[in-house]
Amino acid sequence: MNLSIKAKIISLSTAVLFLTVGVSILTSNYVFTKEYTKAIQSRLLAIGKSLNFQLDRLLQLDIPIQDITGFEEQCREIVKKYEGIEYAMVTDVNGRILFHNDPSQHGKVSTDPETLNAIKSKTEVIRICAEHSPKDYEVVIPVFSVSGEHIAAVRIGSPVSFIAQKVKKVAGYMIAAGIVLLSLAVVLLYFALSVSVTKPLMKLLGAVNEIKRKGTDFTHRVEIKSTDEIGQLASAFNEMTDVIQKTTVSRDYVNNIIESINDILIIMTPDLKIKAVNKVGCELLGYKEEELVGSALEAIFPGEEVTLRKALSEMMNEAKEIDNYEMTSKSKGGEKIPLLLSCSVMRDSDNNVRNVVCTGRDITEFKRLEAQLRYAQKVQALSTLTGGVAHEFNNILQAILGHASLLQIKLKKDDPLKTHADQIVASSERAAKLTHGLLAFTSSQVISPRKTDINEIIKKEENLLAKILGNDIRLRTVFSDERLTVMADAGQIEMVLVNLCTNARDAMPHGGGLTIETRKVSNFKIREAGYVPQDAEHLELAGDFCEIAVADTGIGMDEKIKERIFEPFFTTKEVGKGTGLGLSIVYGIVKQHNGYMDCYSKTGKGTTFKIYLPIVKAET
Amino acid sequence: MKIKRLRAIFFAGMFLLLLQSTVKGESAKTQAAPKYKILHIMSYHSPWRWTDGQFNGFKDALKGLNVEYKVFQMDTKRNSAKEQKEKIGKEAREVIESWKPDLIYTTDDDVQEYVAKHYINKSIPFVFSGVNKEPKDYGFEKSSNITGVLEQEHFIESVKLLKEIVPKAKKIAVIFDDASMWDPVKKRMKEKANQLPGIEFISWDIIRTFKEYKQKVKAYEGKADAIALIGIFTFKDEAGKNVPYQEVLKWTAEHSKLPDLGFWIDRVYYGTLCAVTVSEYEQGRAAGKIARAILTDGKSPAEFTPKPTVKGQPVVSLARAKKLGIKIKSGILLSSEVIKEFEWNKQ
Repeated sequence: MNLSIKAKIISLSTAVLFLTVGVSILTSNYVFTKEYTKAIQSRLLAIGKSLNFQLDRLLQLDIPIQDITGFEEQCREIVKKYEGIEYAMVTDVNGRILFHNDPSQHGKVSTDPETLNAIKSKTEVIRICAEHSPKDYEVVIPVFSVSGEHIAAVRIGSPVSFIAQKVKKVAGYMIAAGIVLLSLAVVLLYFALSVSVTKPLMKLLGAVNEIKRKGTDFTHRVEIKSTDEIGQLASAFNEMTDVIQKTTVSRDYVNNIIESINDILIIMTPDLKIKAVNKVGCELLGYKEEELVGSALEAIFPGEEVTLRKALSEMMNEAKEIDNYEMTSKSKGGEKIPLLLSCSVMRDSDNNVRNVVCTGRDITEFKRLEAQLRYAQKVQALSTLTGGVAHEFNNILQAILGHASLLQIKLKKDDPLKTHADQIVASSERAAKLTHGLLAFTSSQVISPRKTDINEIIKKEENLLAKILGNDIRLRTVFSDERLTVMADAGQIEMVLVNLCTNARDAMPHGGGLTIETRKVSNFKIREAGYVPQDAEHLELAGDFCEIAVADTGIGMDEKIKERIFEPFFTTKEVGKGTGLGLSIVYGIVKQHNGYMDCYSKTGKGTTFKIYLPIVKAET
Repeated sequence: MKIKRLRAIFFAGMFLLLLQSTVKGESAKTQAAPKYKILHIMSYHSPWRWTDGQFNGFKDALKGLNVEYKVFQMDTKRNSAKEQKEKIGKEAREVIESWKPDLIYTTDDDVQEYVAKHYINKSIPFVFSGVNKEPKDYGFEKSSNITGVLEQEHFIESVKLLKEIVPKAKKIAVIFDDASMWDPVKKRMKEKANQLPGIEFISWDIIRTFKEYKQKVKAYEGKADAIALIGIFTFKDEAGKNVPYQEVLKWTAEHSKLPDLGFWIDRVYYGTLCAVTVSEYEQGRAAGKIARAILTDGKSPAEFTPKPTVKGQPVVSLARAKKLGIKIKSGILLSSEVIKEFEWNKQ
């Protein structure tokens, strides 16, 4: 039976109290019966003597006993006055009733020998009289005349059952009182136990549960002020938690440390099965911890398990550590994640390997930035080279064009050489145009920047752009509500828009949609979006940026193409259909405006070019 | 040894100190208790159960006080002439003036007439008991210094006692002498007579001579069931002298066949069958309680309206009952004072 301590104590105490009360009642009844019998007998004797005294007073008046009248009244008064007296009478020495509380008894003679003996006895007799039924306790007191002659006897009787009735009544009272006291004691005990035992114990239990719930948080203390055993237990508990708190590293504390690590943490068994993976690791790899626990390391590093196992085995055997191993893991979704892996071995006191602990840092961003940097360096190199060549070539072209023009002027119209001269001039002009494009890529053109609202430039060119896109492509423009004032050469920006629209049109041979959207973004937003320009220092200094997003719904491109789109003369178009300078010129113009651009594209998903130009304070 | 001696000396010293302080306390207590001088002037004489009983009750009520008593007996039963009473009253007043008591306790009527009346509204307090007349008869109703306890007969109770002894008694003849002192008694009796249903008072006779009395008593036989003997002090003999009431009662006991009743115990001593008497002790004790309040609590006598005492003592003459052939129930005998013998047989 599952009983609380309080219930047990109360049950036990109730049982003991019940037993005590029961025994007390029985004992009391026994003693009461004995003592009450004595008391009744003494009382009978006293009452008998008082009646005898009254009779004696009358005799002292020299009235012969036979001349006394109305003494029945005194007998009747005795019976009436004292509870439990059944009869009071005066008999002569032969047992004839002279006076009786019941006048009808007058003159009757007792025939019971024992009674007669008692009457004839000249001493006081206390006895149980069986003359009547039920039996009586009776006192017989001799009456003497003035001259000392034994002339009569006073008899007073009380039923034996009277005592039994009294005992029963007293027992009833005692049982009632016992029940009341017992109930009171139980209630008091209940409250006393609640206050002094249950509540403190529940407090203590609450503290234990609190610690159990929180794991290894031992800061909880119990406040019990009593100095009894429970108080001592509480003090001991508090001292124990103090000691534990001081000497034990809590699981929470360890968990907090593990969870605060930004790197992947993998704990493996000596046979290189995964034992635990931290939250960062699970999130990065897309697994739940329970999916990984128990798996072999191949689950995370498919294709590199041989290399890794070998390295780890060597580490365990030679006590070497694996430090900054570049590995590629694979997420649950199949994505490859470059990691920088470092491992160490946990050993027990006997130098046995307990666990292998590996931390892996996700270097995806690092790799992206590395590629971006490489690309920027490549474009920069191309730009320098292209600029130098274009500049020199342009100088030569100017000389060729100048001389060809002079030749053209000197020759007559019908001169057969004039056609050649015209061809030289035309070719030179085409070459010059080409070099201008190259110079634009290298940002070497002479531009005339001034404060201008980007939205105004786009709105002015909207019709032209729509014509370039043709009827199958729907142009949609979304302008920011606020002015986007930048330092820009409007002509150059128009060229950027034209080139981007031309490219977009070519990417949507079957029609589609092109959206030009402007908005104001903060430097922080650019960084948050993952766009980190090559000269970040410059970007840091700038405040807000104007973003011009040109998004088409065209065929898109893969990563390889995307990596080369800003290279001069790189084109995916058929030979003769494009110069391969369009996006190079756009890139050069944007850069010349202290801006940056990036391309977001996936095959079949369209392409978005985003251009960022620094916003300047508009003139008022 | 030295320590023991020192201890003995210490305890002896302590004992002496304690003894000294006890003695001092006792003497201080004696000095602190005031001493009262009380002059008791009785109308009659001592020794007599009636006068002595009152004085004993009075003294018991003042128990614990330091009182010096002086008693003056006027003895007017023997000196019944007015001149004699005036003379003795003057003597009593002289005692008052010379002794200067703190309080005067007077008993019965003559002392009121010849002494107390002279001190109405004086500073000295008077407390009386055993007075039959109404206080206004002495002018006490307006007095600031005289109060006490009235002696009024237990008329109803006495008749009821007679009825218990002689259940067939229904007609009662009442006898008075010609003394004026009975006027208030008769008046009260007549006022209360209606409280006794089934009892008829067939006559209220005033008798002047002993001869007339004898004739009347004999004449009542057959007409009355009982006689109430109230005034029997001034029946004249042939020489014109008062016949002592004891003689009147003795003749009655020896010659009357009718049961009789009175209000005073001495009547029962001399043969009257029964009486619920005024308790002389109760009278004195009630007066003593008033005196104590005046002396110790500083109360004024005017604060106590004169009242009669309420308890009575039943007395029956077993000798007379035997003479009349009456068996008295044991209950009455046990609750009454029983006179076994006639007074004259004791001598």
